[in-house]
Amino acid sequence: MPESRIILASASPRRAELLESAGIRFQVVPGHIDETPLPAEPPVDHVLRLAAEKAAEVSRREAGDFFIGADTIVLCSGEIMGKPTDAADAARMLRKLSGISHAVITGYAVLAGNGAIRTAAVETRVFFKTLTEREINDYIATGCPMDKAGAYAIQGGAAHMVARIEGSYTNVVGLPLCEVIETLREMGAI
Amino acid sequence: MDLAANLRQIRAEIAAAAAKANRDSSGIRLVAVSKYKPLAAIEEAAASGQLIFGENYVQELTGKAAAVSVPVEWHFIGHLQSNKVRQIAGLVAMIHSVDRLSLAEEIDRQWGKSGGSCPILVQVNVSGEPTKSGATASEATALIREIAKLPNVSVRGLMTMPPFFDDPEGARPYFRELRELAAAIAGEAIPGVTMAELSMGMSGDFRVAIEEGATLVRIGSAIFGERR
Repeated sequence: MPESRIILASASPRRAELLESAGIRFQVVPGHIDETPLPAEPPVDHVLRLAAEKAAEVSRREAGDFFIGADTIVLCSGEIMGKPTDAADAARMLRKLSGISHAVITGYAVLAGNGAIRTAAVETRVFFKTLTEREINDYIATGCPMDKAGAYAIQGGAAHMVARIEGSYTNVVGLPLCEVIETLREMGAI
Repeated sequence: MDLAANLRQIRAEIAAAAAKANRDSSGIRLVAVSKYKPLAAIEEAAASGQLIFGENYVQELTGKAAAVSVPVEWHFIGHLQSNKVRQIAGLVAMIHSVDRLSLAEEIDRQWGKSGGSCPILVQVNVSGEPTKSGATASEATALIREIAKLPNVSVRGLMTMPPFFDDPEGARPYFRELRELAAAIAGEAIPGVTMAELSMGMSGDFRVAIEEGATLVRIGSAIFGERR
């Protein structure tokens, strides 16, 4: 069988690194969609819909056999945390995460050229240590939080803030690798 | 018919039923049963955030899948003839209604052609009604042991359709029995088999099904209205 042409419909270099680490050959073509939640949309429905829409948007303009879309949110005490709007917002998020646990939910979709799609959402619980104001300010000064859901990256400067996790580590980074690879296998992509 | 409002209402009821049972509603997925419904209704529901659609007839499913303009995860939920499996191979994300080994063997053959595998649920006729499809509860474990040997079929759980009751509480014992059967099968630790999914509950009784452990609820009329 000829090798499938796989396209990652995400601008996240972290997702690309994860897929590369699994030995998958693919191209990156970021999807551009309206990410506004629908009225009363539950968090899991939201990430799954965005994942599917990202994959579908790219499939309409790029030739490929399989398109992977993904969306990650941080859910803390009822608040869905996306990317912070500014440094003050990042500080607010980190103060809220401090000392308690939150959920990181990634929805992913694999869309085949024939229109077949499979979606799944994976949830990981992340336990933060109690952060000092200095730790929060130093981390924000690195600039790292600004393009991350929940204002932190577990694989970057925030690694020392995470006391422990329950569930998939790669899911917190942005792509539940174990599950995504299994779905690609099941769809005959790899 | 306001599909968006119906979907919001059902999602809220799913969340409420999950909360009542101390379950996380993120583990429950809504399958919108779209048989006999026009493509426009599917696309309207998709625009309101609905992702999974369940179809009962092969020809209807393939026609809609070829024409739909939005990403849809298709599940096959009706009685499936072996000679029609080829038409949906690689297209559906799950088949809920596998009730015999010969059907599983054909699914294995057809999915194998593309190098993929098909997630399936085994349909169990818990009530033993002669008019209903499904393996009997006593046959299910042996059937799953045989299906588990097929390389391109992946057993993920069980599906059932209880008898009809005016009062949804009437269906509860059948949902409970399916959950207990799934737990017993999971305890057998058959290689390659998981019992992560329980597909049970429809428009009239999905709240009870969720209280009894449903992970996939198949809802048609409460979303799209009664069939006209």
